[in-house]
Amino acid sequence: MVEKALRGGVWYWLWLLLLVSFIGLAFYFWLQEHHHGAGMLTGLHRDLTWGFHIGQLAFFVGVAASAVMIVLPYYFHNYKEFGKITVLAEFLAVGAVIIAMLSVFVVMGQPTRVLYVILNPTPNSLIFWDLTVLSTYLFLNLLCGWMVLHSEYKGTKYPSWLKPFIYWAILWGPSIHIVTAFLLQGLPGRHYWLTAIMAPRFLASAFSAGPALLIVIALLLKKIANFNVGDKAIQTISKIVIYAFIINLLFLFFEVFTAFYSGIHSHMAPFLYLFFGYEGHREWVPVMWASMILGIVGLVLLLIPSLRRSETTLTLGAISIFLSVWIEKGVALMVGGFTPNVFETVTPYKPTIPEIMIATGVWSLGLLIITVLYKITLSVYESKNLAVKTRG
Amino acid sequence: MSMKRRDFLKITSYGIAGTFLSLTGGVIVGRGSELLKKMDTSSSEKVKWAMVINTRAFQTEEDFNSVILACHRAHNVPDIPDKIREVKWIWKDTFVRGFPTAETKYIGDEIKKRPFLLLCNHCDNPPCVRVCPVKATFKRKDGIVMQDMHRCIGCKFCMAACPYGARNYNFYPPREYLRSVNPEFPTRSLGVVEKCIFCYHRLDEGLVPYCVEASKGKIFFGNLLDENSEVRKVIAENIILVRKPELGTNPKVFYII
Amino acid sequence: MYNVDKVIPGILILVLFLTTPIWLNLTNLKALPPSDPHVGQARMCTTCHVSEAGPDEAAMSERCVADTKYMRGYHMKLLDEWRDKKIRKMEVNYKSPDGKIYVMSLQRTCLKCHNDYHNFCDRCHQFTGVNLDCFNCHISVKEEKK
Repeated sequence: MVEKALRGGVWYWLWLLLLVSFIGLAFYFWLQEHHHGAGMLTGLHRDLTWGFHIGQLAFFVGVAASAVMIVLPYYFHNYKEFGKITVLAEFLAVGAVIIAMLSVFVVMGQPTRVLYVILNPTPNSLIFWDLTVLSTYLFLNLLCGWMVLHSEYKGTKYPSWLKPFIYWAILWGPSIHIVTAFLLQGLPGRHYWLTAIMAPRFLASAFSAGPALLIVIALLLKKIANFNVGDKAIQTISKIVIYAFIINLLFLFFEVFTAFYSGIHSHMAPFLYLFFGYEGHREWVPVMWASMILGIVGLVLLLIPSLRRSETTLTLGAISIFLSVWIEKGVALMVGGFTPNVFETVTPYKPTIPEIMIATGVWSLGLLIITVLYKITLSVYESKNLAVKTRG
Repeated sequence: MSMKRRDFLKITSYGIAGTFLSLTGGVIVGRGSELLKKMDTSSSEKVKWAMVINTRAFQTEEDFNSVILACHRAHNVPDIPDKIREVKWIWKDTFVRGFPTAETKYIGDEIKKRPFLLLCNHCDNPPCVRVCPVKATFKRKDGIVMQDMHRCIGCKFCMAACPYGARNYNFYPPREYLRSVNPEFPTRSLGVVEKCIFCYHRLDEGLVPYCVEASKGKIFFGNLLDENSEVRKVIAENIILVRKPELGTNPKVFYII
Repeated sequence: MYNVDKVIPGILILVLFLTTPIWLNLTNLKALPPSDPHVGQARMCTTCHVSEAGPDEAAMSERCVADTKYMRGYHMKLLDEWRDKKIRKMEVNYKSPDGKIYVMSLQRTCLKCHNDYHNFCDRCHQFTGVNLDCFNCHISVKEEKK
């Protein structure tokens, strides 16, 4: 099956070349950072030690976890419409897990010591658990996606021994995101994160942003690769997106209510800083309101059935929701957690160009893996269609 | 669906019996854990180092600088000009920043302006130790929160966990910013986290920490578990503050107000 | 054989890739430098590398924590053990097999005698292709003078 990734048109190879060059560029900046120090190249500082990259961890673990929203109806409830898109969702999860894990790796000050995490297993640290569940999830999705596709290729049903692994992957999806939320929500003195609703909110935002991305990908594949996952599947996913997004907005409202009705200053401060500015610092105010506006646009576009059914407005809505959640979770979550800092003052953070370039390289590597896996998937389905046609 | 009276009574009595059984179980478990606590002798450590800083005695710039320099020189702490990415083991800060939860608007001007020495609190319940994925930071038997720079992978999780801003990441190559070098102590490398280590190397050899020595009596140091120790005496006799007590970290650096 | 034009270059690339360590080290490797007459004066490990000038009497009088043969083979193990004992097990002193007590410290014990990092440590490590990172943090006396 692998050989199918080696045959492609000019655009396929150009796209891969573009991704590889981004990876190369990121590698250069990463080397620079480890040569000159994070102080020279990144915006991180004493009071904000987890920035843009760890934000990508939180966000892309969510994207990976959201595969469960497609896989679960298909395997548990035998929802046949999701047949084609399930493999896409599983392979998207593979790429997203790789992005998430690499995002942590690139911020490590001593990358050569990465194996210490395994050599000195520390169950009281959630990074240990995060590494364990993420690598397990990566393996499970690769295994399930590949085996199912392979049986499709052979024209058989997937082997029965795979069933436990599929169920395991379904259970594991939410787990990886809960553990990632636990990384943050158990830290004393970080008021924005110290909330029991962090894990449920992570799940809600993941189950909206992840499937929203899948909608965009599916519609894109329909356009450029003539691969149709089925309109009914896309419509069902768009409903999943909108329900999850409404729950996500509700959770945000609960947070705001608790902080502001209780009137505890330290709990209000991060919200004030992000949405209105704090002690004269307003760096993130426009970004936060952009996220809010995008969220409302997405809400309207996906809530109204007629707009949801039109592919143009559906795409726009899905992109808006994806971006809205990305800003809120992939960027502002870290900023809000560290600002105001432990001294209850503001030390502003702005990601630098090298930081963003390294992140671009990480995304590119994930996209590269997703592209190759999708190429194989599409080719398998294509050859199957051809076989059906020739047989008449 | 209807139920016979007989069956109903049977089920109800099972329910009642079940409730009593669970209650008994609960009582046994509850008492048991208490008994275990009484039997537990493993927490019989004899030493728990603590520091008491007499903030009233620190008056002049010189009082602070001599203490800070004594520590920073001895431990080869680099002098980094970029203030938001500097490395410091012990430093001077205001009351409002050091004790944000104790601050109110009407507090006296003298207190508001009084500088405080801040350093790692060597918490009895340290969040940084909890989160470290490689045990690079850990608590010694005598309560010192250690930092093993050989082990640190530079993930900076501990810095997110520390509510006191006491941890430093080496954002810059530290050796390039050394003013003087103490050949008896190592430097650090790029990309590891460091902090005050309560001079464990001096305590193990029977000496007091550098800052205590340089303070000339303005900082007390001793064993918190020894009822007759000097630190216990000054804690009992003075008005004492610790930083952010509400977080349950149990700091072992105390401030005389 | 099919696809000879692809298979043969492929195998070649694979072989080249798998042997990269050899090629990379080829440029780095230096044979053991000839012992130079200053070595003895620098009090480098005269017990290990007997220089042309003969062993340094002063250095010989102050014996190392273990005998030369052991140290040559297992110094890394000993240093590892010292580090763990000092940092993690609250131990301070090391009792050598002959009963002498030493403070477990690279800088305060070992480097006091073995103070020439370039001639003492680097010489062998370069030859064996071992990349030392001890001195990224630890300070040898010579370096400090710079």
